[in-house]
Amino acid sequence: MPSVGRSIPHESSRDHVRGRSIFLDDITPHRNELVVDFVGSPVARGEIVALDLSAATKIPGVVGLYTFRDVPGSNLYGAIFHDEYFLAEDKVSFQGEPIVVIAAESHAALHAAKKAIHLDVRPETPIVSIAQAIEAEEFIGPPRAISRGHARDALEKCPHRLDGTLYIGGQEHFYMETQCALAIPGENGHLTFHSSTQNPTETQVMAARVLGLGMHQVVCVCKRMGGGFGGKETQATPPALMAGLVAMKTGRPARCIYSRETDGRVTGKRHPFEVRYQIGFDSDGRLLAARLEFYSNAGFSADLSTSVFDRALYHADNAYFIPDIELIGRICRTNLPSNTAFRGFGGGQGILAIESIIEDIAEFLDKDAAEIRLLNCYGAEGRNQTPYGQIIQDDTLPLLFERLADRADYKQRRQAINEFNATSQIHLRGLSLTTVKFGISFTTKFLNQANALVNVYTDGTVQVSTGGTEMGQGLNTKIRQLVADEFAIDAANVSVMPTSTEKNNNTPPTAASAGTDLNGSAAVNACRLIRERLTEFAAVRLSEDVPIPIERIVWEDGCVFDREKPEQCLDFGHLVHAAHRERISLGERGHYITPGLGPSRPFFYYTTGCALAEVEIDRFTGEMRVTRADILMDIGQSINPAIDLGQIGGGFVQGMGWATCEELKFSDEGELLTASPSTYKIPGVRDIPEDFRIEFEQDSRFPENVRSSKAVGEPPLLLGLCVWTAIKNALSYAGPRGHVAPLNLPATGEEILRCLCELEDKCP
Amino acid sequence: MHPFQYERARNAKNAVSTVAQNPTATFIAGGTSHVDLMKENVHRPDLVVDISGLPLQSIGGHDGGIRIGANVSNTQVAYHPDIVARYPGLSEAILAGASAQIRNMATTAGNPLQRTRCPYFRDTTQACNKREPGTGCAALTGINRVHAIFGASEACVATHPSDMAVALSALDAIVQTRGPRGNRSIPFTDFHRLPGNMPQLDTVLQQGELITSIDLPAFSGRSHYLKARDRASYAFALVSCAIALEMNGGTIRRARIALGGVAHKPWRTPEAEAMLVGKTPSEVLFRDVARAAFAHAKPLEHNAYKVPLGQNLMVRALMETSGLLPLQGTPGTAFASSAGSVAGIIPLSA
Repeated sequence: MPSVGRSIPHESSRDHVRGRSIFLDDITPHRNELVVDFVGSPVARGEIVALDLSAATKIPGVVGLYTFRDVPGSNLYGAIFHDEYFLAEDKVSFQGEPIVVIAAESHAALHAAKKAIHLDVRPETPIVSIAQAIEAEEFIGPPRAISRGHARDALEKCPHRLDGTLYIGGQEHFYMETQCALAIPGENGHLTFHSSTQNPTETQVMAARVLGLGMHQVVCVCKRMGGGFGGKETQATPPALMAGLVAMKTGRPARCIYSRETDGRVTGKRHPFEVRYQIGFDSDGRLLAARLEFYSNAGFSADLSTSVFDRALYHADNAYFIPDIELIGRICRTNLPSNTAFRGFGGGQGILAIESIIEDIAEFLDKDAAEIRLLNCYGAEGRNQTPYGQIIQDDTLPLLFERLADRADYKQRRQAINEFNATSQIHLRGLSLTTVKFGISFTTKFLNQANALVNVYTDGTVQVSTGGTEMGQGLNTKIRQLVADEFAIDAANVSVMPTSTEKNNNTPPTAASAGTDLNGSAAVNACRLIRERLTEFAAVRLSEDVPIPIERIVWEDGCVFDREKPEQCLDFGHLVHAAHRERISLGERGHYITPGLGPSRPFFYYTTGCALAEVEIDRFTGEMRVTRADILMDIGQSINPAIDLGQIGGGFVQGMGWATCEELKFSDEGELLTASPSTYKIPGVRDIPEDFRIEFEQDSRFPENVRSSKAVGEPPLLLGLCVWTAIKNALSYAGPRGHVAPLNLPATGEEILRCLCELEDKCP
Repeated sequence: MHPFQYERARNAKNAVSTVAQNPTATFIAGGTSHVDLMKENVHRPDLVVDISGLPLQSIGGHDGGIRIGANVSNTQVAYHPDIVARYPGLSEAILAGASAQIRNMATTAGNPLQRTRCPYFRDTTQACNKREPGTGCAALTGINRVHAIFGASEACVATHPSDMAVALSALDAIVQTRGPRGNRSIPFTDFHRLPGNMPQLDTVLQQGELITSIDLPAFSGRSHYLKARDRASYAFALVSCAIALEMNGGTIRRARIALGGVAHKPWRTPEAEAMLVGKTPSEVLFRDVARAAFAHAKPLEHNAYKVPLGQNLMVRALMETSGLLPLQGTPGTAFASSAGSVAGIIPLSA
């Protein structure tokens, strides 16, 4: 029976729930292993005027203290631009910026050393907010723009216009396993890293660069991560560099694991955005012209901010056709930790702006926002091209939208809510149906490739290794299913091996929702090369004299046979054993590149979906609950429906958390005040929608991609934003008609209460 | 975690004298909060005396009211038929906090003795006068959105985290103790302290003084508890409000209001309570009362929102208790049905 399409369990699920899965901190310590930590800057911006390590070096158990002067290679590195210091030299640019790396025999010695280091930093006034960066003209890179038509002229001629500003907060990744790495020195200057990283190649490249090694001297292995969400795409590097530096200097294995607080304080997060908009529309709500100005808060360095920003612009249209449109903006440099990739990668900030605007237009025109969305969806020729030129093909969105509205009784529920809100004294309810059209591919073209190594053993079992990393999302399980089907064997006979740069070189990060598309396709390509050889071999083996024509050879249920003589079948194990005896290679490497990408086609395809949220807000306290959520997604033919269901549900709730309860607060001095779960609130179990319905569009298929599937990682997170628009809708019932609720993101209870006070004038 | 000795108390007398003689000794019962603090190195006792085996586990009628033994679990109190029938506000308060597992372990005496959830108190790398007197208060300039708006001092702006204690305050409960110098009865409203310049002391209990029971005086009115929080689970009150209302026909005979999440102790509002006496319930009246109750609030940098939030919550709690609004449970608690109405076990009439 084929594996693909079946909900086989996540390969680690049993071990996860029994606590048997090995995460980085569970790797048995080596006999002479060192623990590693660092001392970071106490201020967000300043100059290091004094650093005295002499007292700390004398502490028993302290093995080494290292500063930038001890870095053997380049102290400057970075994912896209080399603009980050591994260890600060004379200036510091964010609070917690690493200055001294400490290696010790024990955690007690580490703590004592940290206290004994004398560090004096002369503080300077930091830039914390987007407004401050604009004022100081602190930007990363040139202005960025996408446009079509003449938005400014068109806006002048529109029958109606709304202008405004939307503030969008950041989000902490809150992976359960914090950033961590273990470095083990080997012979000839080699270093092997175990790293909790979405990007082993990046760790390898940066370690080679900073530690002055060739890439051939560095191996990076990742068995699994305890969550990534984009936070380990580039920012797994610093702890690996620290452990690597210590391993190199001492010749001893070294492990660096960030505490939750340290991780919260020094690692980057989702980019906060400010969006200034002008939108023109007609009396039906048809969008005519838009001008959106985006500003992102990048933190102290570029990291992936340029790519994140581009994706925001690429998604500013979401699913809607806007004839004259100008999307511009700047990336702001501030004295915060460097903001980085986070599931959605800027797409969410782009989508939020237009979805917020549509809610406001609905309020302005006294219409239902769902009607306006449907009216503006990309459609037939003339209305099917994005501002960046990509033609939307086989667009299923309007269909999904109408189907979900129908299945979830949108109209009846809207009527019920109108009636409820007219009489309810305590609560207000809101309803919002939003769409997502998420572009699948890295917008940096060369990253859209992958390789895989497949080894078939003589007992008929298979090991597969790819550059893809497992962070809980089920990539390994899907690859296992894909490989099993290529050989028509049971998935139990396929093992997905730890990711290692030794087996798979120059790999892209596991990101952009493309993990299965890229790595799964590469694995399938490798399998097909082996299968081709085995098919030829079977054609001879099964014949009595002349070989059977290849097209008659059938692979099914663990067997290979001639279609015309199915009773004479070769069991897969016997086939490969025999093939090996005939000196046929049972190993292969597959390579895959995403086809068809170009300047006006940055995305291979779009994953689309719709979600409908119903919320209830408390008029007295601003407290909110999601009473029901319905999701309908087009993810092609699901490789593993249970895993996709988990991705969709989890993504939705994570998006909802960003939109409603997760709030990052920085002091004016640039200190993150909400660095741990006591002050930073991710959704709790009771915040999950009380009635939660998730469906996939059954008839959908996308034959150009592996097994007609579509990517699923990021898009559902953006569907969670419909909770935010539903809150906006609920608030629209509070004030006078036509008065737009000035809701920012996150819509915490506090923020909702602020809007209620403004709209209802009940508060003092 | 600091190494400690463990001792199981043989009887109350023995437990009291052991702890009284050793300033680094503490009692432990459910341990749901205490053990966490020990793990975090916030509490560092040398000796822990386990009183969970002492016969303080009964709950029953006393002087027209109810006496709740110190070791009765929070779950037992919340679901006790007499509590549900006569003091529903107490039941609601307990069920608005923690989780079923914690409520099964946590005790009647332990709940009001919880330490603050101020994040700086629990983070041993931060300055905290409550944890280490004289080190300063990191919350004053830090993230203080969950902190006090009443009764705080320069030394401490922490709030008391208990929901149950807020209801006990509104019900004028009495804390019965046994100490090295004998027994005493402490009115609940005097039980917790304001921080002043000794924020390390949460209550008026002496070293070694053991709570034996908490007594609820006779009460024939309506009681109710509402809690506003960041999330529907695993969240402490931003503001909460307990009401005990006694009616005389259509007018209010006596009202008691206690606020949670706003001060170092459950915060009673005597001026507001007095304004209600002899009046007919109305939203206008309740808004005036709420304004008065918060007139002297002193918000910090991040918690000004607690003023409108607290006022609105108080108005709603008063409206629900007096019947102007249908009784709603705190979302996420056993008393709130999915439709938002109250499960039938709370009588609406009193």
